[in-house]
Amino acid sequence: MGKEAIRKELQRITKDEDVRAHGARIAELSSRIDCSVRALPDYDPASRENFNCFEYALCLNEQLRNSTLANLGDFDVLVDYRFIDYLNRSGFLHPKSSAEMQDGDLVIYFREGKAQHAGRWNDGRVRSKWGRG
Amino acid sequence: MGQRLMYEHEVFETPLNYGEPLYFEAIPPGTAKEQLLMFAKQRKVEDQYLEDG
Repeated sequence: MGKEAIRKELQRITKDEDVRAHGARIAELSSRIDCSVRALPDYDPASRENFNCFEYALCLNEQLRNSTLANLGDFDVLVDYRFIDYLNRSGFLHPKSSAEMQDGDLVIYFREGKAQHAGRWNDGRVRSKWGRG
Repeated sequence: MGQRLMYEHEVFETPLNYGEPLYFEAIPPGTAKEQLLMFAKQRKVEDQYLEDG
């Protein structure tokens, strides 16, 4: 299966609103085709912490209390494509090539110029948080 | 709450609708937090809501 077909399969799985089923379905996909996505065992999916992929990639969930992030959300200050755009305009996003990546560096996924997803580089792979909530 | 899972994957192994990856240097510890609080202030969030205590 080609890369785009794998990505389409992953999109199909993650569109299902029953997030609890995602892990098992992705594991099943990985056993069926050449796909190496694996759920990290050190994250509790029942955690009450409610941080998103950008907050994780930027380590904001480690630097700010969950309640502070929630307060900001109440004011529509969300760590989403708007904050990534702000960081870029403020000169805090420094591009590099994939060959130059080091552990902890950022991978940000863009669609039509808007950041949609982000993760952290780790030993040649990416760690990121998927789903909704 | 708890509506997400953490994954490790190859760069391309994400849902297609997430878009295409670009690579960036890590932002130093504390800088992202500082910038988020500045971003919030620009959007008129009062200091009392920015106290992380």
